[in-house]
Amino acid sequence: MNSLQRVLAILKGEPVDRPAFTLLLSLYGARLTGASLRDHYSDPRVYVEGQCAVREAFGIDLLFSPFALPLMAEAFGGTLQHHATQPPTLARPACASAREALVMAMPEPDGQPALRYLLDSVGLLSKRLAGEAALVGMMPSPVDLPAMLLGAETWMETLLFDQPAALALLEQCDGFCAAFGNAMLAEGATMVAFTANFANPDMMPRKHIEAFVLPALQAWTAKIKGPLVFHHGGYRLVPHLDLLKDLPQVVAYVLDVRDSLLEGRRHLGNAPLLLGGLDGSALETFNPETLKQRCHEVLRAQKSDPRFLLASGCADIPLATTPETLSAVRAAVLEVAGVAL
Amino acid sequence: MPQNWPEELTKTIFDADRALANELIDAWAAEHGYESAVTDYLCPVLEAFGEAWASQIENAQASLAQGYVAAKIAEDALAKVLIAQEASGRAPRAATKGPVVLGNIEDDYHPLGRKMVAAFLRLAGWDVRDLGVDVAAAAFVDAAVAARARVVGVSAMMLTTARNVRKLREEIDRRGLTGRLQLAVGGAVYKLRPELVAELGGDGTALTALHAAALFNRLWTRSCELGPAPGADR
Repeated sequence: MNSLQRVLAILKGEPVDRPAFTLLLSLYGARLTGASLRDHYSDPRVYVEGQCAVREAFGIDLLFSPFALPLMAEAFGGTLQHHATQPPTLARPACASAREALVMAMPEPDGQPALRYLLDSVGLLSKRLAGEAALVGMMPSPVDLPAMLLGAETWMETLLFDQPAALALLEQCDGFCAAFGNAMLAEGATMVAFTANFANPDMMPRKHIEAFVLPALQAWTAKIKGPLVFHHGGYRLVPHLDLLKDLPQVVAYVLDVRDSLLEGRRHLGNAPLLLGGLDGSALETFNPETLKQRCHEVLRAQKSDPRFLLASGCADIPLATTPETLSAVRAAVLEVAGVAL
Repeated sequence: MPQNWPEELTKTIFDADRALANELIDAWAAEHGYESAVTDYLCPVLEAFGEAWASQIENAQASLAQGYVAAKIAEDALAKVLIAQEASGRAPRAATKGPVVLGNIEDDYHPLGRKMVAAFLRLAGWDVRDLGVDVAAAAFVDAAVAARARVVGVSAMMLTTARNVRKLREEIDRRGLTGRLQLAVGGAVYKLRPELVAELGGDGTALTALHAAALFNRLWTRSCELGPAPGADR
């Protein structure tokens, strides 16, 4: 059974030869190739080499396209800040207000270098994986994309205090995000993962979410012609699953490390795949032994769940995490399966 | 006129209804003036809201946006105080505490939490010198020394940028300001990993933006006990 077959089997709740696992090592590929982060986040060939190195070093079953959502902001005219140890961040948004964003022409999904980079990373990586491993394309949903265009504060202010403009911008982003998500699938992504932080009651009041943010999210997910993964984006999902479950096309949830996996399963029923169990941003604080122990604990607790995939949540795993520590995850998985190392 | 003024105002914040909150504050001010609206009405409500908000956040029943609305209401009320004072020809409402310095640490571009803290500190009477995003360690200390501030508040959202707070700790210590310049730290990452406060050299953190004023009071007092204000000996 190869990694892709394993992930697809788990999605269906079918038996597998060993637990599937993944780590968000979108950034970490640059450590393995020695590439500068500027090249890593602008040249798809460099990014793909990094992910192939990640796959070879740590044997993860599911790889990711660049988890660098602010690149979207650059495609819309925003200014990025590049860093030595983390993905680029948004330094200056393209628009000062929603009204300004509404008169801006939305780009084609492949119409800007940053967007082309994201799609080509998926396309090239899909070809290199050649059906051996699953590939997830990462993107913001239309409820989060405006935060890339305006900055998070202005978008929050618009949602709270200028609902006509918020609705219009959600609609404008819907078309772009639908086209982009489908383009990722067309390039070979097995699934598309999205963040929807502005649909999370930890971020926004429920009444706003129910009135118009969630309907916008539902409308968008229904337009995606393939499986979707709801990524927690740094916020808890389980306390809010009464609102956030049953979205069209969503087949999997990446939960926050504070979320109970068992509670998540109870809310969601048997169907969706659950990913989680590890806090990616904290992995550097583990040593190989303690991380292996943590993986064993999670896998033991989830043993009876046929649709569970051990995964790191939160942001990218920091560059400072040692390869020896990361290798402990695979070692734990193989031990559980009784496979000789 | 509401029967229960505090409850009504609290409700507007939980409902994220900035317009209605402003109407209530205006109604109070019509009887008592805007300074009273801030001191006697809004401040006690925000204090109570802060406690309820913190526990509701913990229980996933309140949102970041509600704190943001509270900060906007605070800004609106302070602006009205200034306008009222200008209209009456009186001197503008002066800060009664501070100065203190705020900013996002080097490489951090997430200003939302910092702006909320600044709004609540100003409402509590602090003179806030806000340096903005991506502030180098030396710039924080330079600003504190120039203003004779005893507290710097530094915000970081992600672990990667939070690590730069250590540079600020080192800069404070290198200039011989340990203890006299207190370091308040805040941001999403500290909620996930509270041990980072001590690990990165912070002198304290606050549960929410609304708790920042109490933290700054405490740190200011501690600094006073440890020596003269930074820059006072120049």
